[in-house]
Amino acid sequence: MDDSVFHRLYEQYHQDVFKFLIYLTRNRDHAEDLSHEVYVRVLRAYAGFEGKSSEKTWLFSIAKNVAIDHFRKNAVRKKHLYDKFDWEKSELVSTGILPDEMAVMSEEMKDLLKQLDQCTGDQKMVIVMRYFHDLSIAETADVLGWTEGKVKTTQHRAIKALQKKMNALPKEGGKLNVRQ
Amino acid sequence: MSDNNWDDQQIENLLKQVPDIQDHRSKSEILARLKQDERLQKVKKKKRTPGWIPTSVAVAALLLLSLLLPSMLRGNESVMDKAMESSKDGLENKAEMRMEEAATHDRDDSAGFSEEAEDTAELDEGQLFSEKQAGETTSFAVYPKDIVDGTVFHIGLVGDAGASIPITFIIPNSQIEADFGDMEPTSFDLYMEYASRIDEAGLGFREYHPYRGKLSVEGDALIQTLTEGHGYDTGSATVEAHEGTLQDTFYGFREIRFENEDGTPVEFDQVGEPSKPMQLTSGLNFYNYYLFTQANGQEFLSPNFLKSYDSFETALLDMKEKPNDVYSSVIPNGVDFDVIEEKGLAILKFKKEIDLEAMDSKTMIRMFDGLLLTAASFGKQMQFENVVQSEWNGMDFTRPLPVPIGPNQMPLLLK
Repeated sequence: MDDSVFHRLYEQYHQDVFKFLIYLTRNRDHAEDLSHEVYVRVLRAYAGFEGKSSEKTWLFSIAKNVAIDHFRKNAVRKKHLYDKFDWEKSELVSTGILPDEMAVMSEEMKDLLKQLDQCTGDQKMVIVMRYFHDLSIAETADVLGWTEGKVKTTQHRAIKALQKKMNALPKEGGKLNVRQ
Repeated sequence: MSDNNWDDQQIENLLKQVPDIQDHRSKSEILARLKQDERLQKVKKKKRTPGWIPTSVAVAALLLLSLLLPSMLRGNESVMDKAMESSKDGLENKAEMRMEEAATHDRDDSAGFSEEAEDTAELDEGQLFSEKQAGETTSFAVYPKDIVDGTVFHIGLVGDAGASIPITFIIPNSQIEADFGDMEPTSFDLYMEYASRIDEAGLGFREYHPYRGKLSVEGDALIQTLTEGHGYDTGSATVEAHEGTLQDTFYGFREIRFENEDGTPVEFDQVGEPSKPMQLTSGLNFYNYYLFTQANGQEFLSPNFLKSYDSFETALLDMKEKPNDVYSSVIPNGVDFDVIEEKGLAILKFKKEIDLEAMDSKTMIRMFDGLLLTAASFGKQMQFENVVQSEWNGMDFTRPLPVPIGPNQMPLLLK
């Protein structure tokens, strides 16, 4: 393997990719395993990277695929094979141990992330990319292989779904200390 | 009812405040783990020691290798006679440059597997199956016409993505008679006889077989008796490779049970409950097929991990899209189709008429093989409509095409 490629990718993207994976899986061990898998796929495919998309969106698309494969394998295994898994319609729920960083979050943030887990996979993915990673509509579309219109619609639905779910929570978990 | 009153803006503001979560591992730790990953390492050619190999097997393996490798890598031709024909043509007719060139590669390959087998030199993976040779592959499925006095041996071998790749070996019946006498071997018998001797690394796969534990037969069920530390449940990839290879190997059985030595069901770590018998499907997996390319350039048709479909039509339509970064679509851009079913026959109609002579032949063969394998996985026969040619590459488009017997024919290379 080409160490220089690894060093450059690590410096530029490692923490971003890790954050993406840990927010999707909510499990540090899984995020570490999946980030390893991302490197394996990226390093093996690097020579063939055609530059049709930016390196950043290419990396995120690989990370996204690795994460979906992880959720799909879990779903398939739990159902003893052969059940269909459609990531866009399924919930991408990880049942692992919450990282320490999540345990010390405000209650409202914990609620929000919990409700995000209850959203459909496509909504969760768009929220993570657009809000946690600040990817543009175009970049998100590129990562997901969607049209920009689909990203916008999914984002809109995701916010509405989160709003509805948050408003359905008991008030104690409600909106204190929201910084504007 | 709740009294909360979150609006869009407040939700968005909160989402933007999600804190960063860092990976606490050091860069060197991450790099060290990558260095350990065999998928990023060059293939080390194993030193082959003569060991105990029955003469008949050794001769058969060498014969198969020298005769079949050209055919496997290059053409959708029948097994023995066509391969012999090709080699002969290549050597004798210099006007047929492509054949001559291919035969030269074939001879190189034979040397690579025999004389050079004693070397322990590290070879670049590309040297085993060069891009060029991979590029000449024009068959991805085995059809009834390919079985000439041979016995089919299905097996799932583990590729460098860690997933099972369904492979089809055709063993000459003379070899079967030598090894089994008059008995007609089941998939279990074939596995027990050959699996431990398949040169997986030599064929470009990970060393995976034979299975750990003990395999036995009880009626139409198989039992895999496993002991502590069997390792089939250490991670999602190992679980999937285990299940996938079993499914791709044991045709003709109803199910496989996983038992401890005391007969109780094994509890796999990744599942967390006593295992249930796994239904074996003998190829009726409701899969669709995609292109999988190994690091050394070998190309195979493979299901998308273990993804199966309820709907045959959806399975076919999904094939138009690349499902992830491991597998690629076999349907070229610009090719679109509809599918209808009539009395068990699937009719795939291309939306625009396809002129196969104007397309890349390998791409087209891959597409047809992938579609036919998908139909076969649903137990269906398929006919194509809106193709300019009525006959092409041995396919008669005026009638339903034969149902493939299995994907990815390879020569049975034994250690």
